[in-house]
Amino acid sequence: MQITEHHEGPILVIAVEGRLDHSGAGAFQEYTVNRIQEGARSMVVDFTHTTFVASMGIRAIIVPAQEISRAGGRFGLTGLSPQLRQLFEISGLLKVFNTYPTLADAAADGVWA
Amino acid sequence: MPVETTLRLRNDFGELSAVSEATTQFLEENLAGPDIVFAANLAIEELVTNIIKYGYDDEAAHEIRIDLEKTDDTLCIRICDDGHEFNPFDQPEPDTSLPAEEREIGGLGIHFVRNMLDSCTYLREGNQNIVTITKKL
Repeated sequence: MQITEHHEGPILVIAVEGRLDHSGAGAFQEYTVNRIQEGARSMVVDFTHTTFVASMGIRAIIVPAQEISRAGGRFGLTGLSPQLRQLFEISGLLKVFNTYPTLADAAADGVWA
Repeated sequence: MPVETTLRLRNDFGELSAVSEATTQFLEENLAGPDIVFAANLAIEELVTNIIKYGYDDEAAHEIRIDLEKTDDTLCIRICDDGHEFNPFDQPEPDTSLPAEEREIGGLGIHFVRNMLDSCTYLREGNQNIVTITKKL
């Protein structure tokens, strides 16, 4: 798994490449939570180049989402493949997260601070 | 025509990525679509992670065997381990209607396997746990 980041307007975009599995979950959680502690309040995780997510990966996504929400920020997801979307759906989390078909759709949402 | 392969790994998380690569390669070579590749990887990752984490009462090295068989209309995955008797499908379903922070830890992986695959069965034979899961193609 490789994590890269860039800014899209006010949004900090965290892109996950490869597998967000048992071995990558801890690193992802630490990376995103660190960014929030450093002040990020608008974060979108981009799964366009993510090949696989396991239950540990889903748990690792819940943690920064809660953290940023407690800090008054906003968290979103984009680039979900049909399989990933199905995973979020059967987790009961699809309605909890803000999801966007593309990064451009996320950036066009006027809610980001 | 049915095709099959057998993968073996030790009870070591470090071996999971090689198993996933081998699974993906076998399925792609045999023309399985991305939904099948994803479901197979998910089932193996979740079940084998559980076995390595909770399956053994000692610190010794153990072998986990995974048989993959693909026919024209079904993918069958069989996972065998010599850990203590444990039926992963005999656990309560997580309440996915609860807010994320109120959820019980654990259970989500098996919930995924149940929902993404078409059948899940468990057998105890001798000192082996044998989990068989199938997915219609």
